[in-house]
Amino acid sequence: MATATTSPAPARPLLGRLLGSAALLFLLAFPAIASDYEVGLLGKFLVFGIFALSLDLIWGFSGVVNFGHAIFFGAGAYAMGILLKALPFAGATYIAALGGVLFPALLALVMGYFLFYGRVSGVFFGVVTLALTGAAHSIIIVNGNLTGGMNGLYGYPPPTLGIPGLWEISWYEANVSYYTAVIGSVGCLALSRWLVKSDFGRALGAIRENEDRAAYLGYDVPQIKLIIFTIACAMAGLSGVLYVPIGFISPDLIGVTMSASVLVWVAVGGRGTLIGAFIGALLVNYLQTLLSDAFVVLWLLLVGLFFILVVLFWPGGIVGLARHEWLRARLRALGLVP
Amino acid sequence: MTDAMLDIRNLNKKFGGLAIFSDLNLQVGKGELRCIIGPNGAGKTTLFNLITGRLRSDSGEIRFEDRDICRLPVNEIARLGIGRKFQAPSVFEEMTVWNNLMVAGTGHRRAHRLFSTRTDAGLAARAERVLESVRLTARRDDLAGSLSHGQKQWLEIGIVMLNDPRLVLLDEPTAGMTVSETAETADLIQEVFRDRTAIIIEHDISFVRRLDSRVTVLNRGGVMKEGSFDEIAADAAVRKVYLGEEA
Repeated sequence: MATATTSPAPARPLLGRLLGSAALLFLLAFPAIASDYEVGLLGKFLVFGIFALSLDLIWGFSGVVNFGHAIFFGAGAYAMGILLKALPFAGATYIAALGGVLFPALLALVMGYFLFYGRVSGVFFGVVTLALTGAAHSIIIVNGNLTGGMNGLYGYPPPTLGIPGLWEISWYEANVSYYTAVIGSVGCLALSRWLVKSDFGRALGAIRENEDRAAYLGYDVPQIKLIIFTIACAMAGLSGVLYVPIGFISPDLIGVTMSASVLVWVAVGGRGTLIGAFIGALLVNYLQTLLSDAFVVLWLLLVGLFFILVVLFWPGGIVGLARHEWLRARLRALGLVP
Repeated sequence: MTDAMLDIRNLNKKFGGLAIFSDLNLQVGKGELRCIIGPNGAGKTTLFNLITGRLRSDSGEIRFEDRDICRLPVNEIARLGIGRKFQAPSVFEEMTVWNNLMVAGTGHRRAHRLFSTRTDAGLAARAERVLESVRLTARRDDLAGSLSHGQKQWLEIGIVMLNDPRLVLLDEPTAGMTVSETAETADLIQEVFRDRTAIIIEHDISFVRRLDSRVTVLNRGGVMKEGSFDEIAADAAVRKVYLGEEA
């Protein structure tokens, strides 16, 4: 056979591309039409979206449930804050941001090594990561002089971007922190898409479905899991870094609540869909801002109820539902279903 | 016999107090097609589990191309060139037929060589050919889970081919197939694994006869008899333990 008749990758549906472009345009123009408060809010939601995306990479695509994903979000934010404090010179922000990505990645590498090569999987992986969340939380509180303990970390020099010494711009600026969140979101989404479409992503799918079979094909299952786990946790760390100019570094970032929230965002948006992570994070957080004033105590109950409903009736989340309906509408148009 | 591709010597394996193999010796030469038959519990599937690294032997040697593979993990043995087809079709049901083949094709790669979205033209060409051999060209974009039982068996044969092993282990490739499917499968196996070494576990005597290969009879922890199909079929002791009522 002379030439390979490879089928081209299916083109993304026009509607999808239109929606994507419209969403991007909206994000770019948002600061022009909204108040600083709203811009800050959307920036924060986008950062949470990156955080949710990083969980979707491991949960949705390799089937590993991480109940302690906030460890890596918090580790990114804390590493950034501590480095900012320790390095009081121009341009330190870049080093601190890099540290905020590398430290969680290193943490994930060590933790993942023991968990994956120790064949800890399924429910046990969840239990261990949940326990580690508690441990990480305690470590933050006990090491008060480094982390600020219960009070959170503050007093570090404000992070600045731009060219050190020549043209510096505060990262606290509403538009700056917002646009870094937008750039981070688009970049992480593009990276994730590429990753899941690569040969690596296909191998990941095989491992998610049947680890043993994948090993019989030659795949080093623990190694592949470790790689995706480390990439995802580095991404979670990046979201922590981007959170620093928007939010407050406190032990809550590492807590069980944060770990549980991100699971809810991904489940609501649609596990294994990438974009669903953003949709889930944006929707749940938006509703939270909208409703938590009115229902201070009831709010968490509502979120819990919402989560249960999604898990029971909507396993594909919002994106799954949309795709399902689309498919049906298309088939209906072709006259294949009544 | 050192030119054997697979050389098993004095293999012992016990489950609890039950000896599955006691001093099993088995050699399979390069390019050979070998059938293994034997009554239930003779350890046929266990033998595959030992060769592929799923189970560890208690003692003895398993050499593949002159290399001791007894203590290697499953995926490293696969990378050395031993492919396995399971008895119950074991395909990735949530993936398309095409992706099942492609994922098998990249199984031997080191992790850093997986980070590419470019379709490997050579691999894709092989996948197209295999798709044709196993007659699934029309189903390439369907989920493997939507295939019939027989088609899944064939897809798994395709997966093994794309994985490109030098030694193929087939565990009852015709399990659950109709008579005509069984005959077609025998032809397929002879066609696609012609230039490879293959060991086939099979219960279906007509299938074994059709393959016309050397046959090893396992019984009571060791090799009971080895020879051509006609020799085996003529052996009174084999007929007694295995062919049983057909004798």
